Amino acid sequence: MTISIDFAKYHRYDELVQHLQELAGAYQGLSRLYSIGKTYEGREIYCFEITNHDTGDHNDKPGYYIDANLHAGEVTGTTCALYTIWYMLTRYGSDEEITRLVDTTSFYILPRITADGAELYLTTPYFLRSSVRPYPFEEQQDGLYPEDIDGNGLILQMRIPDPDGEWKISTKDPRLMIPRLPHEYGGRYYRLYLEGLVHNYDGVTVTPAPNKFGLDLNRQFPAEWAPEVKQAGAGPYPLSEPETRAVAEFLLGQKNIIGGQSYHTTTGIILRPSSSRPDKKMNPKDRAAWTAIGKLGEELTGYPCVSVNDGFAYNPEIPLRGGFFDWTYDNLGLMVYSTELWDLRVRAGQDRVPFLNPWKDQDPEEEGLKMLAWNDRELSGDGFVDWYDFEHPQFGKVQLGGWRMKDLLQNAPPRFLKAEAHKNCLFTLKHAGAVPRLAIDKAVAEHLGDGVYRVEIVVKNKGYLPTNVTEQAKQVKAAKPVTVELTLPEGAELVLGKVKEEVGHLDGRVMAPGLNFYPSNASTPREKRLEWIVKAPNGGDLSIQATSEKAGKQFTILSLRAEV
Amino acid sequence: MSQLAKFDPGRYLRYAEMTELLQELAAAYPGLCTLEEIGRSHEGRSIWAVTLTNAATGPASEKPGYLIDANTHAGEVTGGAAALYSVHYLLTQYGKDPIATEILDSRAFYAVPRIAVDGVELYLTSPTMLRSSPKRYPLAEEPPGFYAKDMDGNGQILQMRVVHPDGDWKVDTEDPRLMVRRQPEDRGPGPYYRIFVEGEIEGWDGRAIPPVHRPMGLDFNRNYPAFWNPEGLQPGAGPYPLSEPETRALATFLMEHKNIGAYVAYHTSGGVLLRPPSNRGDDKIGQADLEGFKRIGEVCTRATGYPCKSTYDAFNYPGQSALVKGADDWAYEFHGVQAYTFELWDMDGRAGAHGYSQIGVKGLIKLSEAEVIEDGRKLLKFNDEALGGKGFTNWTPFGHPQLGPVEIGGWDPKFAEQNPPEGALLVDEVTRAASFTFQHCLATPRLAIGRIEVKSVGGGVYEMAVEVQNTGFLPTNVTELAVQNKRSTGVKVTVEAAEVLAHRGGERTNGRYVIGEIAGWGKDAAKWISFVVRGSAGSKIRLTAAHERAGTVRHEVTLP
Amino acid sequence: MTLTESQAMEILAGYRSDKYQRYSEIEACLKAWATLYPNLCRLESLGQSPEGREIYQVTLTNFATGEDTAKPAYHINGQHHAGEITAGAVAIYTIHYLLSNYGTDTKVTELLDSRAVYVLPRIAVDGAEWYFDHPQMVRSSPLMYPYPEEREGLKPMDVNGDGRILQMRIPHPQGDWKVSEKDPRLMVRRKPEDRTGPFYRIYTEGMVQQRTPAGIQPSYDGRAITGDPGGPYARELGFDFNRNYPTNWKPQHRQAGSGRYPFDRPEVRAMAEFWLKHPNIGGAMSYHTRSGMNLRPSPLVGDDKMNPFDLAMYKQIGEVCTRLTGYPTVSVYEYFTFDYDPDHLDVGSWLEWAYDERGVQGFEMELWDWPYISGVKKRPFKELKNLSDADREADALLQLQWNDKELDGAGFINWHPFEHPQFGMVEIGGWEPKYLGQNPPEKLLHQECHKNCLFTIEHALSLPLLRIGEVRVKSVGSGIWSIAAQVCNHGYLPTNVTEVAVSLKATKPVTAELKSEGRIVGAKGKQELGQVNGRGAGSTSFWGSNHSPVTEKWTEWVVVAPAGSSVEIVVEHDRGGKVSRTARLNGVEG
Repeated sequence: MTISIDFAKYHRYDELVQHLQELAGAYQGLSRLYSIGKTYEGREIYCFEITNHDTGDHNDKPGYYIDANLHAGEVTGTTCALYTIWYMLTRYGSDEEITRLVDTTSFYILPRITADGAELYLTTPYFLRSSVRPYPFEEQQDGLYPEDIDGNGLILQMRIPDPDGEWKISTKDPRLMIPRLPHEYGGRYYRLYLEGLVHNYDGVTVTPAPNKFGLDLNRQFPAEWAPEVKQAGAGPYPLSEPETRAVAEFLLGQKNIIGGQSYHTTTGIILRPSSSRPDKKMNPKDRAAWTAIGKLGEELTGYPCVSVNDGFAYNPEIPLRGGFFDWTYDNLGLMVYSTELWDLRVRAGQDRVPFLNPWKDQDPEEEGLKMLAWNDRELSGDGFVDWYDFEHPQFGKVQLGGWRMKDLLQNAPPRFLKAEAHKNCLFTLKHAGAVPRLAIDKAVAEHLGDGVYRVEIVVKNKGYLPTNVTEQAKQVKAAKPVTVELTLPEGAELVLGKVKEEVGHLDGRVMAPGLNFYPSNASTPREKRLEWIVKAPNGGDLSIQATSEKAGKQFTILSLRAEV
Repeated sequence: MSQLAKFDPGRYLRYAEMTELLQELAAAYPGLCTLEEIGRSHEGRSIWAVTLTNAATGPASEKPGYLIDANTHAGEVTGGAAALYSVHYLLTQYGKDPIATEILDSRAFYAVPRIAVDGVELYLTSPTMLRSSPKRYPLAEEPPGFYAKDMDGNGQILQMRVVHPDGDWKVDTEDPRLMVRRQPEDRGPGPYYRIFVEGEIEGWDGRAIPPVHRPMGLDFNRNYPAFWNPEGLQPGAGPYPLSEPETRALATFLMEHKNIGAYVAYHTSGGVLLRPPSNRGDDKIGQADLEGFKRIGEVCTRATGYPCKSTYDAFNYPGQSALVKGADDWAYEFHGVQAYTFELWDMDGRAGAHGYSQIGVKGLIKLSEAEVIEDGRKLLKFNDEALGGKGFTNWTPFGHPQLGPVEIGGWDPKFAEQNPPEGALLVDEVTRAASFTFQHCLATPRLAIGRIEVKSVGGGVYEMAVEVQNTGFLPTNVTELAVQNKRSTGVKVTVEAAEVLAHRGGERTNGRYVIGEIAGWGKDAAKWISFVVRGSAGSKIRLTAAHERAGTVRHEVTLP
Repeated sequence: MTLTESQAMEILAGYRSDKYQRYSEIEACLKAWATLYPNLCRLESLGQSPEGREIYQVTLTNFATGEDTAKPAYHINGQHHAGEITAGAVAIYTIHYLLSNYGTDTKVTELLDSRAVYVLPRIAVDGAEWYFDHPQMVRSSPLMYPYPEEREGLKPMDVNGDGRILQMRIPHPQGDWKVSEKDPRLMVRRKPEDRTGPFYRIYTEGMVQQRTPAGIQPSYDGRAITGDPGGPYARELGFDFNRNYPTNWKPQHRQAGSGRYPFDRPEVRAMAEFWLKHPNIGGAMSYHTRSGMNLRPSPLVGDDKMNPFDLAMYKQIGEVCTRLTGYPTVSVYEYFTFDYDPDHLDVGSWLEWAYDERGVQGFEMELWDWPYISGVKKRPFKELKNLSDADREADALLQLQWNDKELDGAGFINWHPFEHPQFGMVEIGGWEPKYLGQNPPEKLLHQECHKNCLFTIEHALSLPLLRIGEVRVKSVGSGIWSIAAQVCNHGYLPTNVTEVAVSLKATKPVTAELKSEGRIVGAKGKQELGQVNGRGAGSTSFWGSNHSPVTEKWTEWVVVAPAGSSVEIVVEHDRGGKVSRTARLNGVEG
């Protein structure tokens, strides 16, 4: 039985929930659907859990996390998350890699965090960052508020003729507005504003009003969190909003999670920590893992992988604060990437400019012309609304027009959605393949005579990442060390060793950067040998359980009998 | 008999008693006192806040606000007693004591008398010592290890001393109750002792004695957003800032009452008024704020005899990374509130011994062994003379199930070391505490409209000049950080029932005229703004001056 | 040459703790002690000085209770600086005291039975002899350094042949000194408002040397007197052994006296080599003069930057020193530094090397309380430059009064006229430089020796001491035994002595090994136990009484071996010593 989902559209909340319920119903042995909390307006924040229930409880397997729509308008992420759920469930059993992942790993997928914001975004002309809770001002302030003043369902731009304007019309394409040159006088010039109305207009000054929905849930997390004055969108205190708090509580509770993907738009880039510290300050072993896994993403998506501080911050001196994946890395030691989906500018033929200051060294006219050409070619021009006259209640005769924000600039247009979802889904599956995996390699009981046994086992990490996932986790004591616990048979006593042994952490295959081409010991031990001396009545069963917070639980039973 | 009728400031009240008292006060003084639940504790108890102000002189929200809280730390019950005493005093003395009367008429006095409601209850009803909450933290389970426990059932967790050739303690030559450090050159026959907390070992293998495990390690005062760090770096921090219902309730209350400009959190012990910052020296804070902190600190010293120190000066010492504190730092750093932590009860000081309140921790670690011993003797003398010997239990033999013969004794950790015993000493502490906070409350800024000059310029046009004053000691913004954090956005004047043609002084935004902050006592304690208005002779103009922290004042002007 | 017992006894009969000894006298005493106390004292030479003298060191321990290398060890060294002959005297006295009190004094007996003490009484052997033979001063070695040849200018010389280099005062209308109104012997600085003379210029007693066709030699053209080295120190002998250690070593132009490279001199290198071969050294004392202060780390940073545990231990042991010697224990950086400019801090010293590189708890005792013994207040050096002329005069008067009272004025040679071959009539006088300024007069030498010896005994006894406590042997089946052993540290300091020793890997973990002909199962025969606390560990906390440190650890094995056979348990640590115990496998306590 297959479930068909139209991935060439942005899903409203109800459609999304309906699809999730159908999938959960159709694949009961592999999935669970539940809410991890309610939004500001009371919508459920759903988590879709995927793992094979026959291969053990989800808590006893390494966990992998995916979320989308921490920013309301970035709905492309929801499509990726939904696609990933559908892709895994429908391919379980037929696809070897997916079958192995679903049998041995637990996936926790939150397709839409700011359900309120996304709904407002999809059902009104308004843009917003995250939540629909008015912030930082509850009452209206002076200045220009974006409004769909002509009622065509879109908030575009207004161009107002003004001899002192700083913009003019390109001679190469009348749709394109380009800057007036420093020495220029005597032409037809314009001022450009967002389509909207000015509150308390004094007839002269037009200043943008502060954002009505100024909360940014991705500045809300307790990693270098700073208040509004230092970090716009921060909220009154860390995790003050129901959505962020629900996500944080979920991650703090679901301790098997090793990291994952938090989807955003746009740019076409895979972001990773740190936002506040340069890469050279990051633990080299962690950096090696971040880059090795990031490379898989680069190959599958064509998007480069960079740390925010090194490759994305507008000014590394003023770090972004309170970011989600900085919190998950700095405080929890997890590996969460954040892909900025949809690379319109690159598709339009722009070379991948340095992400620091995206418009640096770009000729705005050339840039605009390329975008318009792409729009005409791929969308037969629908992406740009040509300028049309409108009588503005405050400015009089103006023209409205410009790029469609929501389904072109901020999100992949519907016909590009599925492809976007597919390639990014594949990256998350590779990332999930790198989790640490605890195993009991060898388990023997040697009878020393007189009912005394020497018990020996070897615990091992078969995964790529260490059982602590990152060195950062060790540093902040975020990942519990591996333990091995014995359950002695009736009437047995432990002569040597502890019932519960702390093994510490086991390395993974991830290699600290080094001259590995140079003949050297390029392998590290990833296993540990443990011994006990047990005195037990003949034929008793000794059970041994190895436990790792992040690498899963393993269990074995040794039968203690004197060979006759 | 009602709690109100039998109220005794020298007693520590149980939760039920406190709740009753507060409810009775609210009922008895409807025009002066309102009681509200601002949250529920981990175990579901209500966390109470009282608002004290004379409703007849205006709503609390239109008056400068002042906040006291207590028992962020469960065991520091002196603070709770001080808060209840303050509330009780202000209400019962209103109309009699001019200070109480002025506070309730001109200010909004907020009190959250008990934050760690669960912890205090456990503290008052069992021998258990705990920091904030009975919640098991950071570990949900209890691993094998040494656990403090009342072994001899005398209701207290004291100390155990065990004779041991490698012991690091010996008995003082002058006072046999006093244990002093065995010195490197003490090689005589002894006896020498090892000292442990009274308790026993879970899952002991009969060998080495493991370190103490404290299962209730949560510290509300490390759970605030300022300089917060996770548990691995800052013990007691909690999973994330304001993760606990108790701290969240207090934080939300402070943030929602934007009129709160000054705040004191009651703690014990030490006898010192601590002020931010806790993570850096005084050279790294705004000099105006520093001046304000110090001037008010001197008020405290005059009123209570307790010195005022920055937390950094008091606790920072060589080799220790700067201590990061909680509520007061958060209130100051992020909200620009002039916040203090008041450490009550200074047994060292009363006994004439050295305490950190006087010389700071860096002074304590410099003390010579001889000075330490001298201090120990003084404290025991204080126990005999001032505490009637109840503060120190002499060493008495006890057969320990695991360690064999030991002796149990030492200082009462709760009602000698951490708090004064009930009675006169407690009354002395709470009255000292209140005598400072009342003055602090009255130092907050308060707006008044001074002179108003109106003259007609003909044609129904008038020129009106208005003087807005700050009658408080502190500036309207209270601190520089309040301005930087946009928690104080200047005095706003509105003119109603007249058309304003022009104005001089101030800036018009959102229909109001912002004239900025007004300094406290001194030549700059007033600002002028003038308007050109159109109106008809005899008509009334409504003037309002409002400030987040300095209150709202209204005035009606009749055009000549 | 070897001595007979009678020869040895005769030599030692001549030993006096109130006399400074020449090299030959020290050599004789050391050989005599080694001869008379073969089971307590061994003499060796760590190497030879450039002039061919032996660098003698004795090992003091009761060899009947084990070799020195199997015991926690304490190192005493003296005279990095040639002229600081008090240092050698105290070291020699310590040998004398330990050997002559073994068996009678319980502490001395405990010390030599349980620990080893190495004493290197005189490092600068060549320099010391030169110091006795010349009126000039010498820092460490009679080597021309940093300048290999004579230089122009005023060279300190004993021009009046009284065997000392004092000061010359020459009347001059533009003189910058005048006679104190309070004591005619005392010269005080001329104040700007002083108009009526007589005024003087003061120089070090000596002759001006100038370049002549015959080379640089005493010669004066009557013009300006330049190149006054500003004191009796002959700067051409400026090599400083205590700046020649590798820790933070800087070349001569940034650190005077440091040498061409670390361990450039055989004397210093010889001792360093010995340390590297003896990881059992956990505590040490290096003797210097003068100040009457016991110096502790750090020379380079404030206490707030020191390891807090090590700092606490230094303070605890430092208090012992103060109780026994009356000398305060101070941080070089906090107290003994003139200014905190990192470029002006002395580097490459023994103290830095001992603590910051070897992780040894070392002290540098500045012996001889002059001038403080006369009542002058001890002040951190950085405060000295703030002293007013009045303060200085008052201090100088205290010193003169003490000199008159205690030394009948012998310490200050009063100004007396002398016809100087170059300057004509001058007056020569001033403080006795060597036997008051740099070292105590001999009549005060003994007390200096004794009280400092007592402190080093306490310091050495506070070193870690590993012992095997309880041993529990249990039969867990026929021929299968469980053996548990308790490893105790009876010392005050932890087995690692300092925490930096662990971070520097200067000391290894404690090991416990089970030796048996049977099969050891379930655990390694040799187990690492990390470090074991000493009873002092508790004193790092100041918040009242805390949980006492536990100064023992347990270890256990299971062995398959026939009943009645025996096993040996060996516990070992560089700084905690090596002990062993055998246990019989018979089911009862071994």
